[in-house]
Amino acid sequence: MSLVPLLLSATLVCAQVPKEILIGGTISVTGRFSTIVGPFKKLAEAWEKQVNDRGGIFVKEYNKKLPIRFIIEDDKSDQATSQKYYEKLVTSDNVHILIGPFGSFLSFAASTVAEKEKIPMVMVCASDKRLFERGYKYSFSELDYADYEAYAYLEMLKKEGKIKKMAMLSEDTLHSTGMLKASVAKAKEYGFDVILNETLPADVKDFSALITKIKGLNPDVVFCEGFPSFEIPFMKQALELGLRPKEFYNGHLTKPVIDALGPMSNNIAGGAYWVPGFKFPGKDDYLSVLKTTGITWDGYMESAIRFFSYQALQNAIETAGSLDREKLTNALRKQKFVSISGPISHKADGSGTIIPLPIQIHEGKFVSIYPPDVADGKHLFPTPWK
Amino acid sequence: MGIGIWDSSEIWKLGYRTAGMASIIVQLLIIGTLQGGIYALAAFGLSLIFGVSNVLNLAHGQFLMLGGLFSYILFMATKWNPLLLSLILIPLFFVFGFLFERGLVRPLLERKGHELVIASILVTLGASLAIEDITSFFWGPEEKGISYIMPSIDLGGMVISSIRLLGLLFIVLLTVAVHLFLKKTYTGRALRATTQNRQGAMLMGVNTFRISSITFGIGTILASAAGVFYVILFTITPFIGIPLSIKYLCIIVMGGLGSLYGSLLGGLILGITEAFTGFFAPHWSETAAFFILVAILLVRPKGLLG
Repeated sequence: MSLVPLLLSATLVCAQVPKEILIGGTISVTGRFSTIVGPFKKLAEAWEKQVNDRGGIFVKEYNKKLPIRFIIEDDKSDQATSQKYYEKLVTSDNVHILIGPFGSFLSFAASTVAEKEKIPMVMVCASDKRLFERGYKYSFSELDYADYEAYAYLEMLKKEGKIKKMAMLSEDTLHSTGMLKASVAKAKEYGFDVILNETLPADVKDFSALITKIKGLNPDVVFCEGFPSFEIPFMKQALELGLRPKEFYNGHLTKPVIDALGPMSNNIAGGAYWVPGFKFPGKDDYLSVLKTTGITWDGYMESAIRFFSYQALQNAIETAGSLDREKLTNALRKQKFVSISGPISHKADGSGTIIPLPIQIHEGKFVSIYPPDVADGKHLFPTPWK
Repeated sequence: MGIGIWDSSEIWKLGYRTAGMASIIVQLLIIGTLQGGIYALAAFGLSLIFGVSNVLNLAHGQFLMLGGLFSYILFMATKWNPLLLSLILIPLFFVFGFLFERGLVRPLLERKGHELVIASILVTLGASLAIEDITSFFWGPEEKGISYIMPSIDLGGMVISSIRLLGLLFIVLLTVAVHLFLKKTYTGRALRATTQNRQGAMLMGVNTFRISSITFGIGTILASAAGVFYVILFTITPFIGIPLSIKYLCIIVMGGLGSLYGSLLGGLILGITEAFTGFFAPHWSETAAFFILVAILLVRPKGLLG
């Protein structure tokens, strides 16, 4: 029997085994989102090393572990730039799977590439409901709708029964307006009197007039949803002009807020996707990756979301047992696993199941305050203004 | 017992509402004037530079950003009062502006008219992008803000921001100082002469190139001073420079290119517009400012005092 066909087919099989799993994505190293995710290229590299030090990810089709390699570009916090790079990653770099850019705004553009090229994308920090109303089949998020982000906080307020009036405002971006609209509806459902409901341009810097208006309304809680470039000027001016509600809530409560406000940041409430109180699997891996990069979980709270997105990506590859795009997509669609922030699965529209839990700043540190089984501190209410 | 078709309680309610609205309007005028003062501080410098050199400096916003950044760095290192720290920045930014003009703008000054304006836009825009990248590389892209809050002044329920009041006082004093400088000093008169007729000034023995450098130095000081207020009141990142330059350009166009008092007036109008729309229709504050600009230019194409 001739050995030539056997050798030929063996050669062909060997030639088809990729030497590595290519994961393509963009990160906002510069631009308005860089405050939140700028250093995350290091996070990708650290996770890549962690996985490769363990031999890589097992792919059943090749019966071996394959190392991973990220190809990351800087999207400059810009939709067109993000979209351009995703096109390049798919058509030129021939990546096997995509990891999304930061946020709903950029994902809105980037996911169109995944849909057009029929390549799966694990979106990161992308949760605006409108993303999932397009009927896209190739994009998946681990997060539940942005609309629900403040639900746990509002639930906590409802159970405590100490507030009546809320003034609610947001910046005018895809994520924030969706979140505000749903939070206003939930607040009303809980019986709170929403005495202000405003959306402002994202790059507004002067809030004096609005703060004057809010002061006149005397709310119990001032609920401000936006990114740090919106929240910090609002908070600074609110504190300067003597706005003293029982509590401030910031939708993106991050370390730059603490740095910019100093001691005045105490008792501001917000939400976090991961807190040290969680006991789900992968916590040590997450902390180990953070240690390598010098990023702290509270300095960059979106690092947890990115990490469990990597977990989702790995889980999908292992479940699919292949790097075939359709098999990966199906694996993501049916995915069920436990991440560092809890169980993850996807709804039919591609959205996930994780929502942030309430936190509060106590003496310059983030403390989780609800629900009781993961809280590592008490909800200090009302704010003891001096 | 009523008066006509109204009873006295209705009149009291109307009285309270009118008094309440009057109080709000006064508060908004105060807010707008104070904010306008901050705008005017930076716009003043840009107008001064254009008036003397005919250069549209799109890096002006970056000078403001750098002023804020260095204030932030000094504050984080010393925790001293940032307004006092800004005094250290004055000579630093004068030298920076002087050298910026000598290095990048001087080669353009031999061009004339529109050629000079276009060339200056391109060169200063390029410089602006370079400053953005360098700053981001060395100091990071994160939001930076100074945690410094002064108690506000409460006048019977109307709150006046102390920091903004200081900014307004600063610009008022500056206006007086610049006015005296231009009228009473040789350099000031030379600067005015250069603005009116560059060739004529040269013929009268004025070193117009040196005047241009000095003007850039002064303009840069003003921008950096605005940056100090900016980093206290708001936050800065390396990326705020170009949008701010465009905003200040709109202010000086509104006030009249080359008119110092026009830039003050333009800043005040913008501040007051933003205050009123910020209260009654916050979503439209940026659009309203644009419409005001267009309306003014339709009525007075050269700007208010152009």
